Amino acid sequence: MKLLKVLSTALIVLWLVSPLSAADLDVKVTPQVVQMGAFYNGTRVRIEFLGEPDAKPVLIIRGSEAKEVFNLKGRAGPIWVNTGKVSISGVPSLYLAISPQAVNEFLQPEAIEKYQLDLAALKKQIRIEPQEMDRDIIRVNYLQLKTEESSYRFVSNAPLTMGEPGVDGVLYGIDFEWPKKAPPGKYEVVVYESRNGSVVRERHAPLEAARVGFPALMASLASSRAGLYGLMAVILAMLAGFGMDSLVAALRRKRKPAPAPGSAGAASPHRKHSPVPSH
Amino acid sequence: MTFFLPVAGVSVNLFLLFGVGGVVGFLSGLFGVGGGFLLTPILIMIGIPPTVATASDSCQIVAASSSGVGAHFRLGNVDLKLGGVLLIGGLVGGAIGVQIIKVLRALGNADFLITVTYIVVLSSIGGYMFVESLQDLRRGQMVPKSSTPTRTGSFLSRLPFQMRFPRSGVSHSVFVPFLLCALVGILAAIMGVGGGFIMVPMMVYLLRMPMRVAIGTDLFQILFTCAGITLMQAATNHTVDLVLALLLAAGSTIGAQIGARLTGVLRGNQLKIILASIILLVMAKLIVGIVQVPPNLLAYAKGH
Repeated sequence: MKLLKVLSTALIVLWLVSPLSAADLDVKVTPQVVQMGAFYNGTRVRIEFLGEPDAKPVLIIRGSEAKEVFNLKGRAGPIWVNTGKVSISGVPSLYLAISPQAVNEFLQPEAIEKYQLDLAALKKQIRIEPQEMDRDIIRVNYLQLKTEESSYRFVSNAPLTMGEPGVDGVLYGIDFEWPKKAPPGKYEVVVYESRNGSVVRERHAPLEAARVGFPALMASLASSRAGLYGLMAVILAMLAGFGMDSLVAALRRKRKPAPAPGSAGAASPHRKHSPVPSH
Repeated sequence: MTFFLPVAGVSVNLFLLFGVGGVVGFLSGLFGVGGGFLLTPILIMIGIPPTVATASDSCQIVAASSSGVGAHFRLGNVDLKLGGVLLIGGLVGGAIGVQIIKVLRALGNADFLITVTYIVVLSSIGGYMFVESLQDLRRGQMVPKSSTPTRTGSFLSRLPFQMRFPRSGVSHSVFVPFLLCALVGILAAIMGVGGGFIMVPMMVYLLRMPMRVAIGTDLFQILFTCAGITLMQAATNHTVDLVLALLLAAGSTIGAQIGARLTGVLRGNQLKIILASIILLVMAKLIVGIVQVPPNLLAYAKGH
């Protein structure tokens, strides 16, 4: 029985440390969970997959689709004011496209549009409510906003590493910086393998960004015990303020020697202001 | 050195937050303003989501104003009695203002009205304060003003429930500070700002309070108003980032102490002219912001 336990443990360890093979997951993401601890400041993610030696891969990392609400500015006479609200859906919250060269250099336009591999393809997916609004302007502004805040990013010169060709193909690897501002949540990694301008293979793997440790505890308190959390926030803020004030007052007292008993300064610890308004 | 903010979900530089908090706290201690007009846009620029920036800002103001109130209280600059009346008036006015804004939004074009009101109010207060303080400074300070009561003064002194506020050295019917503060509360709710910019000049010019006591007393009422806002934001929107607020507070509580001490060094008119300049600068920035073509027509909606 003991021998069986040792053998099974050894097998598991071997499986964990062995290089990627056809029997493994199609796509290996390291780390599978981006851990956002107290001192998290972004991390490097490595994605490995097996492919044909002459294949051109494109990696897409997508966040979940969620409806976002925006204020839309418009002209009212000489000034710009909010003229209404716009709901946008149909596109991912985060979109990272990573390829060794620009996708239009090795993929046909139909494939780019079908698999949504550039901004133009994404633009067509945007759904806008209310429908009577000027859709094209809103779509352009939405993509501009997402690109500026780095939620949508296109890397077209990613260093792609290639292993020696084996029976199952070539082991490809790409390292990239996980966006610091990407919020916690579940993401999907998709590897498109292309040849002769078309996508020939498509594989998926999950990737998660999650709070751990102290941030996880605080975020959970903020959502599950909101009232208590709010009260704690107010009390701690007041303690910080009055605490700092007491500290400064104590330091000032320490610096100034106490006035001799009977002197004018001893009679009033506070500076009195004139009751007559100064203006 | 960076720290990951649990609710905002972003990493930020500790020293940056400390410095920003320090500047805002300094202004808060010196002028009795909350500082939200400055802090919220900076936080959004750093990458904090707008909803979290707004909510955490109010929590940070609780810390900064506590520090400022403590310092001003020891300097004899807080009128607790008048502050209590102002607080109640402000809360009632705020509640009325929220209802007015709902009606305005239902009627349409509310934002246009809010923006124009904001500009008119800020330019009137800032302009008047600036010119008046400049004239006083040129006259060589403190030429005693006529003690003959004006017609308005006589009318106000005949109102019922007269009350003496010894710390401010003024007497008013309790309705006067209550109604004025309710009006400021309405304006603050409509314009979406804390009201410090309007409240301090109002206390100085209409309630005839000394500038220093107006600053200390305004901080006192800001403390409670923002504590209420923080509780509501935490309970309903879950957008208060306590870590962010406390990191900002580390700087702002120190800044508020320095600002409060400086009120004892500067003369009333000097304080007024600096505050008036800041109000006019904010107004100028606002005008530029609404006249210039925005870089993007879309902006994340609050509460989203």
